[in-house]
Amino acid sequence: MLRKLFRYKLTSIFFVICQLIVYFAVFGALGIYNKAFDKEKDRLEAIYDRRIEMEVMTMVDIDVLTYSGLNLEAGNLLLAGKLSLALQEGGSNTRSEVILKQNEEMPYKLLEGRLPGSEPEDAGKRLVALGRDKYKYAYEENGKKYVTIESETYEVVGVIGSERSDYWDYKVVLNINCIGENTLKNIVKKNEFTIELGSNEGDLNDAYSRVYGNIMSADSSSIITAKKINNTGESTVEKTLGKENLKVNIIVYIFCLFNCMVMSEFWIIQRKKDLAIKKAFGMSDYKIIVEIAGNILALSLVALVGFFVIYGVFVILPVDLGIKVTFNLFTCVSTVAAVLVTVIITMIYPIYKVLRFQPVNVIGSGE
Amino acid sequence: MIKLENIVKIYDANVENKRALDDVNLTIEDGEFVAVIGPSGSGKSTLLNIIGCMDSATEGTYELNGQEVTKMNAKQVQKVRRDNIGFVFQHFALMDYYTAYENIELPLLARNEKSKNRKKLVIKTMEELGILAEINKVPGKMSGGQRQRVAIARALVTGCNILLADEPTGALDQNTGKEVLELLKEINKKGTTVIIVTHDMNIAKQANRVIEIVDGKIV
Repeated sequence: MLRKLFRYKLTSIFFVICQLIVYFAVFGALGIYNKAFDKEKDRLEAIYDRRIEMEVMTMVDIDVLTYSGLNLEAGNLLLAGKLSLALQEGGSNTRSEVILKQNEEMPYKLLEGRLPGSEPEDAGKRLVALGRDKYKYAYEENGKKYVTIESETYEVVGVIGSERSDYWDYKVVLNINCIGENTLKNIVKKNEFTIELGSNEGDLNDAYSRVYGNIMSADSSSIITAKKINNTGESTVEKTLGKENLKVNIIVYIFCLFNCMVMSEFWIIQRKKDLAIKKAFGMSDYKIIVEIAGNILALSLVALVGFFVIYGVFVILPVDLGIKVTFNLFTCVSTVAAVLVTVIITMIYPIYKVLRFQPVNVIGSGE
Repeated sequence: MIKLENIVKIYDANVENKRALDDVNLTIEDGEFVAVIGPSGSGKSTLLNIIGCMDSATEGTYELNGQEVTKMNAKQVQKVRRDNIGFVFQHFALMDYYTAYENIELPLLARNEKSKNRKKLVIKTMEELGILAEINKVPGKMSGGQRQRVAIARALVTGCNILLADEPTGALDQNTGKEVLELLKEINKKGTTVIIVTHDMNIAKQANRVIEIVDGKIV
């Protein structure tokens, strides 16, 4: 079987190598797409069914945040928006979120540990949960991990992250009950906050009234602009794709297609005499074309198997190839399409030649 | 029966002495052993190609077993060739990357014969021609005589009634050439019409009938 498949060694091996590169390009591109869509899935899963966003502006440096969730019995209240805190070990300011009140399950995906404030004894301590990427900055002391936020040391009690994307990897999550004084002071002096009230369980109208009342009780001069959010917000797919090197994969793929076209010229040179003999002995053009297609398709499948063997070896080692193969309908359809496009591109010239040439001219009569 | 009437073949109208075949009239009865001789470029291979339905005549009519080939479309011509004619090309024209078995099997594949039947016919023909030992060899691993026998086996495997051979001994040494010629005579004795093209008069003399062609005309 393999002998027949690789009868014309030179062009067959070259085609298989070319196809291997095609698969690396296609699966690389698919990996990027899947990554973008997985991230979007994580983003959508993190969105509450019912949300109210409040822009709060206070005129004086009063801690309205501590009181905002007082006696709130429905939904989760979160200080988010453009809140940025200094993470010393990371060497830069980092987008952060502060849990003001938790009444139902938070959307954060935890890889290990827990969220700050989830245990009764957490109150008064300085605790933080970090995204997978931020966690790498944490230092170890006495078997525990710590980071420095706004010049205060925080114990890392949880690592946030998703198995399928990096959506959660850059989060820094604090809790108003276990936050340092300096950190809170730096937040409060900003005077402008975005507070999100969200729930997957029930209506938020009463909860909103409670939060509104709490803030106004703390600072009657506060200006609160609130809106219910019914949409899922801007998709991150395009943004993620923009960051990745998708163009490189597409260029490599197109280059390989051109290579396949060039190769088909050599393909014909190597087989021309045999094709002429087949024609001379009565094999129809249709049958010859089917045979060519079958051969090219089989070589493509050999290359596909070769790709998975190489991929498998690198996964076992493990060495990062920069490619993650995810089996889903999109991947399967795209792979079949890539194979078919290559087969068709490679076949155009051989088919043209088969239909055109006269066997007697190719075989030669000796005269 | 092969019947050619006023056959003219022009390859390129712009070339001087453009007629490769010029008004050729020829009838060959079933079971004949005919040798076509002539110098290089005289048109003998062109004549063989037209008889073998590998090429078409520019003018004239060609009848094979009562069917007018010159009026057929390409598909019909291909069928006539497949069903009636076996061709032995100069320099063997074997597929270099295929084994002897696969080379001989080719015309049967073209006829959509079933695998079991193909195997039976190929082995029977190889046995008859004494080349069964070469069954899995590629042409590059065979001697010239063996290659020519494979080429003849391929021409005969379908049970054709006309065997055309273009310079069948041209690429062989004298002894092997003689062997091949004897083989062709045996094939002819079994009832197959054999037409060979040669420029060697000694070989042509072995045939029942010699046709000489010069400048595209039978003399």
